[in-house]
Amino acid sequence: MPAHWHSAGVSTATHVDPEPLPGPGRVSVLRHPPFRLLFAGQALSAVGDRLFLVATPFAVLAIPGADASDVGLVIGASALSLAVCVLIGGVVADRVPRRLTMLVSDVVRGVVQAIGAALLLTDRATVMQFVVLMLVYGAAEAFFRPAMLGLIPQVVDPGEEQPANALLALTANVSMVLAPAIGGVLVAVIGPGGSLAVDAATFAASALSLLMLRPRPAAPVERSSFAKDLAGGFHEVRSRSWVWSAMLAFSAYHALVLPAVFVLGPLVASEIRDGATSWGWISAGFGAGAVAGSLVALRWQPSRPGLVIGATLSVASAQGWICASSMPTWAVTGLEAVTGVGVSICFTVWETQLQQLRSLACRASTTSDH
Amino acid sequence: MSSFDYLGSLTLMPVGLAAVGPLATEVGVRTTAVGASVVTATVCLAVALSGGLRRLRPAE
Repeated sequence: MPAHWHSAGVSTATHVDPEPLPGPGRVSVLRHPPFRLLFAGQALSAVGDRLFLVATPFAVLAIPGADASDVGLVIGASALSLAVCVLIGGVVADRVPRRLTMLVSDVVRGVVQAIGAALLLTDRATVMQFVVLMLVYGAAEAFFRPAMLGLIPQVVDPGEEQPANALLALTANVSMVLAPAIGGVLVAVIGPGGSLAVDAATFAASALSLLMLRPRPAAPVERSSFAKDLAGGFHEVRSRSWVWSAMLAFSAYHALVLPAVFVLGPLVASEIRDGATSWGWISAGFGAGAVAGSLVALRWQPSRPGLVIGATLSVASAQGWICASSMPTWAVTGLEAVTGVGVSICFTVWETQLQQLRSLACRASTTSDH
Repeated sequence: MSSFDYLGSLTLMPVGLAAVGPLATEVGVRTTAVGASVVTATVCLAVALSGGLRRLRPAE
């Protein structure tokens, strides 16, 4: 998911990787110094990403005269350049040294947040400046994740990729709960400008850990590019009605519900609640639900996956109404946790169905070759 | 194929983000938010109950 928002990225803010959690024996992957550095840097980046999601709307609302439309423009700018650059990101990840790609991405995002912080702290910020800064931020963000995923085999022993991935997914999950709560308190205590400065510092620290990291040389890998994937995907999608009907539902969720959450949620929080603090708790509630949902999805294989996808996403659709309602903050937080469970079950079941489809297609093509 | 899914969702989100503010100013914050929820939930239930998704079974 998307997620930058999902990410907020639009990363997914909503997407929890369906990787199994690391057991006690699996953390042994941390014995590799390069992986420890990657892990520390990624943990900081994950916190930074979530901090960004909480701090940005309140940073925009702190600009004199700015309203909901301006919040939408600024967040939309980062979402737009992320969408455009994700296409190129996968290609770059395979051709440019991955550590360098990640380093540049961290430095650029750190500088962007530092400039935003300076503009806010000196009362010189305008909405247009933030739109430009976010276009750069979203572009830099797009290159980070594909490069990071590709770097993992270069910092652990062969066969240790899965525990490494699981440990990184665990960090992403923990940061989904902790970072928004911390972010909300930060914005309330030191203001949006100071919070952007803290975010800039997390990127600087992540860049520093990458600078010290010495990965093994990359083995030549055959990874399909995003564009190739896209062309092949189009045929698969058209020929299966369950795939395109699920995508229709996901598109509605991303085009309607998430914008309402990201723009109207902070607006309502600043008008009738304790501003960023409340919004931080509400976002942390969603994160906690998403983590719980991913634990459920690890063990549950529904016999009617299509119905589960539709039902859980319609529960998640209530987020727009929940975020803009005048219920007490604790009630909104609890309901957001319920939708978080729905979102992560939905996307995990969906990913599992796609994986099964891919492995079926793969088996079919190998059989026909012989 | 997940990139296809990713692209569809990613490209629509900036459009929604740009539109939601002006819409909220026009018809009200509550109406916009409830509208987004109702329309999306309707789409989700409609696709879940009609055709492909309803018939989908786990692969053996």
